[in-house]
Amino acid sequence: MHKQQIIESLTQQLKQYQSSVTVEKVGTVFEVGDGIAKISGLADAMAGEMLDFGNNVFGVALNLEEDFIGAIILGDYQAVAEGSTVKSTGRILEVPVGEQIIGRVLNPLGIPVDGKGTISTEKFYPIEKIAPRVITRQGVNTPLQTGVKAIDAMIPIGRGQRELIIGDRQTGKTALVIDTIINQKGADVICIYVAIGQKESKTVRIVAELTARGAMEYTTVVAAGASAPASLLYLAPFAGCAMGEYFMDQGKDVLVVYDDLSKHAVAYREVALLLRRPPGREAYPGDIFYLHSRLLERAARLNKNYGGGSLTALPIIETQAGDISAYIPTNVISITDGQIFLESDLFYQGIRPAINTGLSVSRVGSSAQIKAMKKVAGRLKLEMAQYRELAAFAQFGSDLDEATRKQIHRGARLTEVLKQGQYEPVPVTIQVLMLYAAVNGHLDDVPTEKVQPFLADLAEYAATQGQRTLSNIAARKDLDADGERELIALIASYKQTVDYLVKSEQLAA
Amino acid sequence: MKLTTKQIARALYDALKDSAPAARQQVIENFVRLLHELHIVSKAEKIIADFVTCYNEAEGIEPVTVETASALSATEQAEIAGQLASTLNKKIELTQLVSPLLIGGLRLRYGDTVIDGSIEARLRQLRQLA
Repeated sequence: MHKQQIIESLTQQLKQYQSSVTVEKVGTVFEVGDGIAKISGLADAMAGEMLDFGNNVFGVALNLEEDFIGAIILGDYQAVAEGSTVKSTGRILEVPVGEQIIGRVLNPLGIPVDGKGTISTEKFYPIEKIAPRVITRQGVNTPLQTGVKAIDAMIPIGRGQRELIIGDRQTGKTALVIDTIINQKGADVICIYVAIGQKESKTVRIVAELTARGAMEYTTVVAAGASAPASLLYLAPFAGCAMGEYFMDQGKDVLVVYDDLSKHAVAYREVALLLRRPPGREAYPGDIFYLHSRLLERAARLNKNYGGGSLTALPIIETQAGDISAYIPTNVISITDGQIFLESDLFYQGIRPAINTGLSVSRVGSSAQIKAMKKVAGRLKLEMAQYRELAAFAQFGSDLDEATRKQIHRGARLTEVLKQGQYEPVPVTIQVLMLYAAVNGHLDDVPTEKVQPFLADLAEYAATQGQRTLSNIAARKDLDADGERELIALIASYKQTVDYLVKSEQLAA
Repeated sequence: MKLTTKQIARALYDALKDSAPAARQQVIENFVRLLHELHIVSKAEKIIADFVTCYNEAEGIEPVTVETASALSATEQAEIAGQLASTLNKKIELTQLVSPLLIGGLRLRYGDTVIDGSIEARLRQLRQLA
């Protein structure tokens, strides 16, 4: 490039540059503290409008009162001083959306925090958006395979559903959703994991795990750590939802995990109390229900005319000592389409995932299951329910009749079948095979402690010897008489290779 | 119900507007006595400020601050006031402020609005562009 050229282009640029007189609306900060600011002036600011505090510090107007505005400050509020000027921007808070955010770790404002460089997207979505209306929606009809046998069989989750995961601390809530994300590999689902108030170390561990299993190729992590200001914790799930909505509008399937909404509620309570909104039950503000319902209403399954995309929401709630009747748990239970209960008692008994199959429900139900799974799962639910009843009863007496003994025998095996290690999602066809074997009594002659290795080896055996049978089930998504015969043959031929089966006469004795 | 300073200022304005010019002194005296009785003399400053806002609003007066690098002449001031009066459709009350930081041009401020045509603002814009 020549000197002359440079000078020419420079003069050209300078000619085009026109500095006009700027007209701005300004206000003055008259109170600041703990992440909030009160501002006088700015009479025409909108609710939820972004405010510019200067020095790259932004805020959001939340309270519009007669003489002042209450705003939350995003980022470093120590840089904002009393008397400093605030400009209105005329824009609602937005986050960057697009393909570029996939595989990245972002803060709730869409700024990368993973050190992999900046993101330059063309599009921005407002973090608060009205949920898709009735005419744009359609019923949930496609399953979202979690890879967890107990969930896919008994509490199926459909694409576009909102399923709550609730339990005490250390019961495997996060492990469950991470397994679900890992299982979406090759399923054409974009995942967004929103960490709200989680320890940064935990977030790093999750990202490392997702990366190691190749799940970051389709996952975005939105992280607002435990030390982040309450304003950012409050925005995080809305930001994650907005990022997901972009892909939904592209006709894709999206899974958004909010981990967890109890901390979100606490952050919102902090913001609301600082803004002097009146406290209600448990000091939460009156609109805490509306806050969560408008977030979760944005989960939807759009119909064909609107692109056919979907956004599945998996909110997590942490209970204290199993108290599901506290304020926030009951609120979110009533908003979602079902819940998965995790119990620490079951966890310590070694039943992992520690899902209480009696209290967990999915209100969308079996419409989100493939036919083959429906066939085996219906019997499973019934047998498990009977087993639970009898198991509690049988603890007191040893003299049991034959039918009861059989039922308990079967139930113990079913419980074993539903156990599953972490990071071990099972493909749906293998799930059908395992559950078919269990509910049809093919495991009755396998000792309880051998059920798990038996199933693991059976899966391996089926992958080599029964490939055709499995791919048939996968293609037809149904289990017809032929398929059933093939499964029975497969299980029988595998059984010949193991030596720990209990003989039927021993069984009777 | 507790009265706000705004409401008190508004009441004073209404009382003064309805009374004859000769009686105004009396009205103000009565008003001060009322403040005393209500134990809100300490809020007098705020009430006066609210009264000014109330008066300006009712009479269609817009207080405008004009900031320049060097002092404006009387004709320049009148020109600015006239221009603003026709665009805002209000009587203009001009306050002059000299701040050499602007380098050149002028900055107008009324209500929440700032109209910035100073060299300093242009330089700031140029810096953002780079």
